[in-house]
Amino acid sequence: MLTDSDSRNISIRAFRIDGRDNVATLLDPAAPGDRLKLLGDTELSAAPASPAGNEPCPEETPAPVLAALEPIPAGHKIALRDIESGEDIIKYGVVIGRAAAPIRRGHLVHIPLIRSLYDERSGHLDPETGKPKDISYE
Amino acid sequence: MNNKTLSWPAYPRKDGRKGIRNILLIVYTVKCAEFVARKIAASFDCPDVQVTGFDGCTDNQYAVNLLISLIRHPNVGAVLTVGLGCEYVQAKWLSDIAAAEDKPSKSICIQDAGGTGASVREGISWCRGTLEFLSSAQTVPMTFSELVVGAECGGSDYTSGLAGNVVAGRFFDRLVDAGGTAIFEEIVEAIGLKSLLVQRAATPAAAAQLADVYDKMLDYCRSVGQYSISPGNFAGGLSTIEEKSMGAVIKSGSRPIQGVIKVSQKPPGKGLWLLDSTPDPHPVQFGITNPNDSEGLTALTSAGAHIVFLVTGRGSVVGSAVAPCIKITGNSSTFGRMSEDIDFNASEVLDGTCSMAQLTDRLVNVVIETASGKLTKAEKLGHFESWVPYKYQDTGSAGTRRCEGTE
Repeated sequence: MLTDSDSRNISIRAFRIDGRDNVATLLDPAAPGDRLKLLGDTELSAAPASPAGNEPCPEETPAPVLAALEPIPAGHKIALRDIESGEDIIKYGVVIGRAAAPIRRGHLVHIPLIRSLYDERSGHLDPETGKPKDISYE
Repeated sequence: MNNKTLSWPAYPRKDGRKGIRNILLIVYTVKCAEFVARKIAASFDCPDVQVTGFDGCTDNQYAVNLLISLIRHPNVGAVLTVGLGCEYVQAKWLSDIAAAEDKPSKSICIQDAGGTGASVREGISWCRGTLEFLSSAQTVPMTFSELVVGAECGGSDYTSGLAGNVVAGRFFDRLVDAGGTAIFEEIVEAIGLKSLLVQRAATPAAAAQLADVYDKMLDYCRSVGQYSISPGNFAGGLSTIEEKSMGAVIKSGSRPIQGVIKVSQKPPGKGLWLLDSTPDPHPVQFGITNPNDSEGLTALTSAGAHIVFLVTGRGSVVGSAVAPCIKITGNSSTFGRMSEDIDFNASEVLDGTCSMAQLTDRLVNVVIETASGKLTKAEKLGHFESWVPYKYQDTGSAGTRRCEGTE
């Protein structure tokens, strides 16, 4: 069981940019089991960035200590709570894509688990290199 | 920036605008004349002598408008145009436009002057005298309400949307609140954000413009099958164009959007404006027309920006002709590696050692210093890139295209 005193020594940082987000961006690489310190600029939540046509969602409060359940590189996103297949992925307080499969809290949120609502091709790119799979290099 | 009376010395221009630099701009009118233009500038090696130009022999209204907007730009105090002689865009026509603005001007036709050596000597001689004249120019006070700042991003990484673009957007809010003018572009990086942009429109007319320019952009992206996101973006952790878009649009800040302007158009009023650089639909297209960061910086400058921001994550070295370029990064290791080139380190907000409000205060100070004459890193290094491409854009009105089924 993780306690508050455990979280004080956490050096791996994740940045949640808006209080409504269900993902946060890692500022340091995480290994499975690593616990994360969740940072964020609270002022930004005041910016008018609510999803189109919707009332602002209630602020999501993740459990105090978040742990990575798989390797997650810096710059990539971690799920702050369980996300169901077909559910919106929220970052900046807006929809940035849709879950293509269930994503558990602590897991990496990236292609192919997240799909653009616009760019159909990008869901098929290699998740690590971004290399397209629909172009042949022999 | 709460102090609306804060001022710095600036150069008054005939059209009522004020410049924060007094640049002698050398404009070549075709690729064939570029060497001579650069040779003239090289003999001065001074940030007040800069070169821009158009490579094509056949003319194009978009490119001509861009050259004219740079000639009329308030940061430009004098203009030398250099042409080969047989191209469509004649050097004399452009120098006449500068003269009409009461800016010292001259044109050189290389074929008439007698080739490289004679043209270069003629150009150097005129520039020397003109620089002396410019050095004695009178100044007047300028305030934030007269300042125009543009912003774009390039070489983005995950820090751009968390820190670099965010601080640029906060600066825009302060500038707009102080009565100034802010311009953001890269509508191609607004995919998925149509409603959000339209909701920020200051007027119903602005809402219609924003909806139209979004539809045109989406139509264009679909027609070329390309969205403004690259393998490096995915490898860096961005998962969708929508995610990249929000990271880009956040640099516009949060104030109402007054409307859409096109390249080479001055904003018709103060406040926040979107610059549309997407080509209009036309039977002849020129391939990829938004190919690099310099094109965006030149487009922002053409709209009258006195200063341009380039927000980068992975790092960039480019500067900008005519409008000093302030480079901003939210990536501390990028700043550590490239502090010779990058002006502003926004990464501390991610470490939690500084609030976004404090960071914005610092950026305000950098802008005041730059407006007051302090050289940016790019200016010190002599980076004065520009890009004047062929493109079709109807400058009559913004966003007149209506397309179907775009959402």
